[in-house]
Amino acid sequence: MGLKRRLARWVDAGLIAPQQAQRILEFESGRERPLLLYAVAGLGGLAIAIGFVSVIAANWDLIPGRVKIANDLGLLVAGGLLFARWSHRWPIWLRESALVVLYGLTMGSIALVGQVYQLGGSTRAAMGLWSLLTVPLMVLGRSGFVAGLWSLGLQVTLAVWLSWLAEYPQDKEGWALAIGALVPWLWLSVGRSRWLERVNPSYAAVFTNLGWVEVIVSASIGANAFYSDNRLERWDALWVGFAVGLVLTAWLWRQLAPTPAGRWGRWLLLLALLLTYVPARLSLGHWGIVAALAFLGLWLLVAVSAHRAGMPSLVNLATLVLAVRIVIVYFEVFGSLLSTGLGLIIGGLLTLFLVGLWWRKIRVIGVGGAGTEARGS
Amino acid sequence: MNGKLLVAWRWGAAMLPALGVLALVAQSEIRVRAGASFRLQIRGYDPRDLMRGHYLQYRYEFNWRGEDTCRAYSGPPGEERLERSCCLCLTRQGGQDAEPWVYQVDCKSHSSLVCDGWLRARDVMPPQRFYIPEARSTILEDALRVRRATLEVTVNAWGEPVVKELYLDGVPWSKAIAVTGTTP
Repeated sequence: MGLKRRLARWVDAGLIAPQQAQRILEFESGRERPLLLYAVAGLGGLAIAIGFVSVIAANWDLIPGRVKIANDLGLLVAGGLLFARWSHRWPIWLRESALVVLYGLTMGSIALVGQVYQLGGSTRAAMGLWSLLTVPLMVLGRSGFVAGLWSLGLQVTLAVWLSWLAEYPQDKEGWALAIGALVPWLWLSVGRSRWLERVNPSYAAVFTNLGWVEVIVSASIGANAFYSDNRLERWDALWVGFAVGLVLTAWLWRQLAPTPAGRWGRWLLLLALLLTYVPARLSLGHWGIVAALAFLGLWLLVAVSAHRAGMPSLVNLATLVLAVRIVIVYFEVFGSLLSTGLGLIIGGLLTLFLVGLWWRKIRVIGVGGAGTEARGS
Repeated sequence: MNGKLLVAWRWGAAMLPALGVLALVAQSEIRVRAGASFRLQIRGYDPRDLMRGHYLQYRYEFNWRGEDTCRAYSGPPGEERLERSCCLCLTRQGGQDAEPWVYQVDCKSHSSLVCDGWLRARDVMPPQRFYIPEARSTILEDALRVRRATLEVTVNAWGEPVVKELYLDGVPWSKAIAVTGTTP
């Protein structure tokens, strides 16, 4: 429901005076950020960038390779000069779009050189070079769209390098996993730094949100490591990742405000770190029940933290995930009639308890299906 | 960041991609020009499906001759026996324009051998890729099934292969296809 309609409803109900509603509306419209404008402009820039890459990938053979490279370099230089000379005078949406175009054009140019000189299949080298060359450019962005696109590019580049590290002849699977699993903590640490929050709040918000999502996803995946026996030396590197993760978690512990939401967030971080690394190194295997409990514990903590932070959508999602996991537990305990029956009874009771808890809490914190209906009843 | 520093950063950030790509072009030009050129026979990596998107997937068909001296290797010579940690010694014993003789050697000893060029085995392991124009992929795929395909490869001082041109029956592929069209 839009703010205007909601305020009108509150005025009608006698909760606030019309003058107060007017002042709230003026205040909110004054701080509104043109998110849609940034997103649409960014998408336009992305379309142009993908277009360049696609034209290059078509490997148009009517133009000799070196002529193609000369034209491409001309375009890259012209784009760079335009951006450097005039971008500070452009409206912000145009500047963000130009950044996205230059970002894509750089990737396309590297791919073109690879095509013309038949440089072979070193995708990781191309992506590494692309990411390195564009770091100073992408830090100039101001919108969440550019931050999201850049973080996606960096993560894909890192994934390509980590898969190379894990493969023969490097065979450093443990290191690849240890480094890869640290990425969410790095996003979160960068996003929560006071300096970034001050100089580039959009980037800070995107990195923080991305970090939290990835922390929860990696811990959810990590909990499933209890199913396999992981007592192998090749996973020793995970201890290094765990130690670095612990340092970052300690730093984040201090950064999170000591509010109820912040306190639960701290414990969520610590549990997520443990689940990401420890089962992947120490599990004896066939610990299905531990895996299920660890997963349920994690998502219960997500639900409580979201509840404390006043995020009803996340509470809803966490409840759904918990319910689905409990259903999966039913199938896991299927065996004899007795175990199946007990599993179903306990699982069913747990689900009902969960729904009851969710129903009570969601009415307290807010909007959404349950809350609306509760108010109506 | 103060005003002057911000302007300097903006100029540096905007021009760095162009400078980086220019450096990559320069490095590629040096790689193409430095070193000895060889014609090496190839065939499709997967005979049923030669093209993958806009590139041909191939493997080298080396003219294996001479004794394998790489310690990691044991067994009959053959492409499947390429060992990543070894190197390949290429010699022109068959003649200047003929396909080079190839044998696998220990990478530490290649410099003491009489090689006209040497390659790191890991750089020629299948599948390899040759980029082709989108519109010609079907014609080229048909041609590759019936013609002898060779690559002109420059081998530089670091043992890296740089592919210069694809030949079909000794003619650059674009000309070979232009002459015969779709019925090679």
